Amino acid sequence: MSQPKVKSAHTPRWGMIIDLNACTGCSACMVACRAENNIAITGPKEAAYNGTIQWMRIERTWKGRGRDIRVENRPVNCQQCYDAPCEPVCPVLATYTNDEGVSVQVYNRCVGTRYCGLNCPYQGRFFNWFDYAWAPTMEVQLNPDVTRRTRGIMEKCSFCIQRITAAERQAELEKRPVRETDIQPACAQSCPAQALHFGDLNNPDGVLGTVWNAPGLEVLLPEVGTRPKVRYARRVRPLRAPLAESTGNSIASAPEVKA
Amino acid sequence: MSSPAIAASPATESRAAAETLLKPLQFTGKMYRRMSILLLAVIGWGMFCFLYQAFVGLGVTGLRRPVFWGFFVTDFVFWIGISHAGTLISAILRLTNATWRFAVTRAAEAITVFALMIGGLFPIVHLGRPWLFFWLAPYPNERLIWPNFRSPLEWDFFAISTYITASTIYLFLPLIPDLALARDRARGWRQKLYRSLSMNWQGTQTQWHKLELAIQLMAAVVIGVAVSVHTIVSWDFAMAVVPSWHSTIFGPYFVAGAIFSGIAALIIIMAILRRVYHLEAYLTPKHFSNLGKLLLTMTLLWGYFVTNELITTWYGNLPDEMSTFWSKISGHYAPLFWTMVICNFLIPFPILALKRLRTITGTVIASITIIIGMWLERFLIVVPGAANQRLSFNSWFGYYPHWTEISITLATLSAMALLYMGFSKLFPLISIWELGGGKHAAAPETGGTQ
Amino acid sequence: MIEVSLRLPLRQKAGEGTPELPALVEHLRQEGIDGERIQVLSREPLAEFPAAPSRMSKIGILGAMFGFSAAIGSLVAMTLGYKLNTGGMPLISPFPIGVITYEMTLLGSFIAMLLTLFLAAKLGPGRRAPEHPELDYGEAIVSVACGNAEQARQARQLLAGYDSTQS
Repeated sequence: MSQPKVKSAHTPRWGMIIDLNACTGCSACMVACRAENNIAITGPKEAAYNGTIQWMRIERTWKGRGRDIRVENRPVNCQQCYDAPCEPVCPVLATYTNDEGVSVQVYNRCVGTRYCGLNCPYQGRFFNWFDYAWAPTMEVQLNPDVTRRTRGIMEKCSFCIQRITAAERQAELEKRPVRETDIQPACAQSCPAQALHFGDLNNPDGVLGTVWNAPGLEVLLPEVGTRPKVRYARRVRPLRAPLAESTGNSIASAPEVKA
Repeated sequence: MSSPAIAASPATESRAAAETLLKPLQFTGKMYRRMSILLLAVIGWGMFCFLYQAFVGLGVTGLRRPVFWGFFVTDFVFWIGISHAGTLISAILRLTNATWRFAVTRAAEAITVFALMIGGLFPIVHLGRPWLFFWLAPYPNERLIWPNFRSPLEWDFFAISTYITASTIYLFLPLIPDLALARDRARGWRQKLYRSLSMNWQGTQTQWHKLELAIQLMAAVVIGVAVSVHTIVSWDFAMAVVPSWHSTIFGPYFVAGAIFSGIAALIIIMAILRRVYHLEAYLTPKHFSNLGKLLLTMTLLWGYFVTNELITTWYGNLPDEMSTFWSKISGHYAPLFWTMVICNFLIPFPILALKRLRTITGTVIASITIIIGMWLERFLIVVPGAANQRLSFNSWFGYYPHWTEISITLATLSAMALLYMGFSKLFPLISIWELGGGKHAAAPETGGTQ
Repeated sequence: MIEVSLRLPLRQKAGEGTPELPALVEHLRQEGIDGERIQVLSREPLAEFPAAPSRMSKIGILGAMFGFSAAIGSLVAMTLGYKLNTGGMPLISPFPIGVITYEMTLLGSFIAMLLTLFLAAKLGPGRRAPEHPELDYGEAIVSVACGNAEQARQARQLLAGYDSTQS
């Protein structure tokens, strides 16, 4: 019924800050996420038909025109909303926010109505359209801490909940509260530019707690009112050639350049 | 006291009606058998497609992120819409005491029950793991986990199960006296069937009074159910945060569209029954003309709602909603959109508005285009909205249905036809007792079909 | 139980009715036959016999109230039995509960009225009532249920006076 409670001074609330100034768009986070979470490789044919699964993805937007064109790389994972629109629409309670603020997907319970995927404004949810096969050599690399998903269910970023749980178990054994520095999701761990910062929002002196309300931080699609626990450090540029239009805060307001 | 003066003329009309209307129950023709086999083959193919899809995965459909809902949800909304033909229209006609209703109500109520049986399957067909569909039902289980009552899909479950219960009862009650008649006229297994279905109906005056009262009261309640059901179906979309779905207009818009397509389906089925079972005496041009007038009202209402939906989007000019808007007006879905406008308005409106064209052929042509148009309308609500989400970098996906989706859709059409054919062979298609009803009664003007 | 019955044609002219039929029933009653035992059977509802006041609508409302409270009670109990908060929505959310309760209210009313109908009209599976396959449109059958041969003889005598085919 309820989550296994961790005996610590306070319940953590996990969050993430993604620094757009540091992100180079190298896609290491995508690869690391895939390896850590046993994400299926759907192949080129599916990729051409939007059938890929990427819990962490880099969304690229261009701003400006002509010589002024600038690219912005934005890693987008599940935004771990406080008021997650995906959760109440699930008829079988297969997704909910756990005690530590992680929006989790219960694979066993999911029946695949796919309503959550539609109701996620960030499209952070992915459906297993097939039973995806792993190549023989790839199969030995599967992470034993994470299930392989069967066909017909939804999956999404869980902040590498297997790592969080492992750290909490360890802390429990050592009879100490869990430290946010013990945990790093695969994407944050693998980011060479250290653009991804994971931490505990309930710890005011922690990695995230000290800067969480800084003015440079923004959320994706604030108008939907989802209150994400992932925030982006806005890209700060040196004053160079003026942009044709004001830089929008959210991606939706950024003009799209058709290739 | 002397013996009563007896009028020599018996209720010849009702007797003739009983004979004509019970005839389809006794014989099946060659065409009927051939048609059933053909329809069964299509249904079998559809079932194979469903099993294939269940075993291989939903990837065999054209659905991909972000268009998680496509043909199946369109079919679901479409069939639930068709189901509003019956119970709602029949209840309104009953409550307003429209005397021309007698020939129409049974056929309409049967559509409701069958369309719900079919429409109710689609939420299961479109599941990723359809074998676990019962998890949507609140049943006691060892883990004491209940469904999520906050989900609109759960409301659907309650709404549709209420609606199918109510409309089956509502179809069944006026059938009881006719089943008793069939029981008294039939032999063999049919008599056994009708005997068990007619529930010891004798025709005592208490039974008549209670039955008529129950039908009248239930008509009032069932309108509340029918309106709420399609509103709740529309809430599947309106409750979501998808830009073009999140709209307050969807409730009435869906209900109006449902009645619209429902009347069209009723007209088509009535025309087929009239032709096949030679019911020309009962289903007259007047019925088609009257239903055509209702259809005309709904055409205008539909046009009104579509204008409302489009004009507010266009004027508001919110970028999230405009992407859907333009994909319909001039983008990927424009051919479908303009076909819908032609089918739902430009063709039916003149046909139904001009008295000279509002004949049986005319109303049937209008109804066929409306059925096509309304299916497209549901499709254009579901898919472009899902395809044009807020984060613009996902909007390039264009949805095309694959063969499984098309096959299953065709199979459900066949299932409707087959169910109706089966119904026509087991139950009288027109309420015999209501046809005669009132003729003998004190009020002379409430009689007959003409 | 012995059933004594008489088949009578009805007047067919619109708006006329057959006033002799209620008179016959009244006569039988005056002769000491319990009203419960007399039934007038027909293929169509007869306007000569006005409907007695019925409690069906009130029972429908009671059924609605039952559906309403059962829905709210079970929804609250089930939700509290598995406390998962989703999407920042309160555990007991009035709107969703209201939607489901609305449906269950109407369903309760429907079922209550159906049961009332079945009980009041003595409909239902299993039981056997005497059938009259010979009954046709434009006719009525006056049927008297008799417990013993004595009652049957009396009823037969009374009805014979009305039988136009024999006189």
